[in-house]
Amino acid sequence: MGITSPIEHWRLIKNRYQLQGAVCVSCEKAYYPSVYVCSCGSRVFTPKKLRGHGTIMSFTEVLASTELFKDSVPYCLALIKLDDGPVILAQVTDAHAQDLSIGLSVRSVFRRYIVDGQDGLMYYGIKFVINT
Amino acid sequence: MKIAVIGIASTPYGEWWDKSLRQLLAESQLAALADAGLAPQEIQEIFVANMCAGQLSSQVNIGALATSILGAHISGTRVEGACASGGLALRAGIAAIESGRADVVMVSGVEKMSDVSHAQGTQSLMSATCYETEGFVGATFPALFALVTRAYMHKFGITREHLATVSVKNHKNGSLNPRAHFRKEITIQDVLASVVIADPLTLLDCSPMSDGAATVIISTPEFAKKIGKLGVSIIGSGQASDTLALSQRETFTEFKATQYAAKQAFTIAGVTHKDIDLVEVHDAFTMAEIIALEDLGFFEHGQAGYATMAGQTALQSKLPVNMSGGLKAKGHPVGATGVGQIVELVEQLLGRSCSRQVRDARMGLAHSMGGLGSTVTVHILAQEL
Repeated sequence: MGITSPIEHWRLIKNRYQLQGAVCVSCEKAYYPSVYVCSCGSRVFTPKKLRGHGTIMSFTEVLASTELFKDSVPYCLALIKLDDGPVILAQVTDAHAQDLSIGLSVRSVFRRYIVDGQDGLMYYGIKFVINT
Repeated sequence: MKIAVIGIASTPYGEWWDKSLRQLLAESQLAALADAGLAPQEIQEIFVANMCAGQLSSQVNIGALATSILGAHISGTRVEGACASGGLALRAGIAAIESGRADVVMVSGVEKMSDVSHAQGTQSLMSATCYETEGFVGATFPALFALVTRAYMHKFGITREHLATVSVKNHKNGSLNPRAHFRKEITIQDVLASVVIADPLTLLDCSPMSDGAATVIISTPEFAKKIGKLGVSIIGSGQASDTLALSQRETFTEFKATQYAAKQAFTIAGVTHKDIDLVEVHDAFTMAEIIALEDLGFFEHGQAGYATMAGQTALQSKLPVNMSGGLKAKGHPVGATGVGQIVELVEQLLGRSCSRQVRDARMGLAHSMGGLGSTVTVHILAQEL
């Protein structure tokens, strides 16, 4: 239950590995991930690879989680406002709750999220670290 | 709007290892029929709320399960909107009657969560979030609410003690509810000292996983009068939605869907907040009750935490909130919850709530929420004089 199918993960690689979002051609608002209808009403977008720099809007440290994350706890999650505009939810790694604060500057790194047992896939994605 | 509620029933909520999904559902359906004094053949349509049975019991097509229980060929439909499934099922039942398609409709909700581990239950509940982006990175439901909680605390200055007062109040009310999952009173210290699930939320900030079922039978006022059961009516209903993903929200400290759904319900009912005597809100977490009371319009944004600590939502106050014990103490069998809130309000409005009775209860409001306010319903019920 809950494990991403390898096919689904392959389909989402541009989002999950490269922070590929989209920009509305009408009003230039940036989205991650891309949407179908912009808040301005337009439905035309161009893809855009977002820069992984941003600031923390909120954070938490998760101590109880699911089977898939039992080897990851405790891990920190944050809502991060990217300098490019969109807000992303991602893990903040190499940190505990006491190291984090609202307004802290963070940058993206490519890290492993889930390991599907001994023989299954390893699912990577974008995490963030404190920008020192 | 005037939809009569002519029969109600709820199983006790808890961990019922000896009762299956269908047994719980059957119990509540048959008890509601008995309460209404109706035979199974008199039900014309059934709507059943359920979220997790597909994942946890390998059972979907729950509409057919419900009609099979009654031995009927009538229309049976499963309705799902995560934890708002119960509110949505009620909306569907109301629409069937308002459209003229049916006169007597059964609305049930059921959930069976204790057949699996807590971790598996958590996994199943994550399907209410945006799984592709938020579930994938390990954002459990408590983690998402913890993000909202921290943002709210940062903006409005409340502390974990304020959050804890919600749990303490709901446990106090739950101790008076014979059907509640948890009947023990707790203290603020208990909440603060309990194990951290997702900082700053502890175990006692979070509603439990429960088994249970609830059923209400609704009808046209004419049918209700005919059988002498015109006691309580639903006079207002509203529903709204918001982005599935928390990261896509305009704000992290309000749930717009609750605001829009409440406006609809109040407009249809033609009443204001001053007319509401009692409220059942969806306290999936302590933070959720506080934000709900603000989004529903009972308090200004940022104030409901302070108001709860000051006792302004206690059982004997001017605005009792979650007299049943709320999700926290009464329990949260997901699909049943929204329907169970209606059972609680109807009992209160009929004066059947014993030691939990709110004095002069004439009009009540029920708030049912799925995901992080991505699906919300609000219903207003009134005593028929």
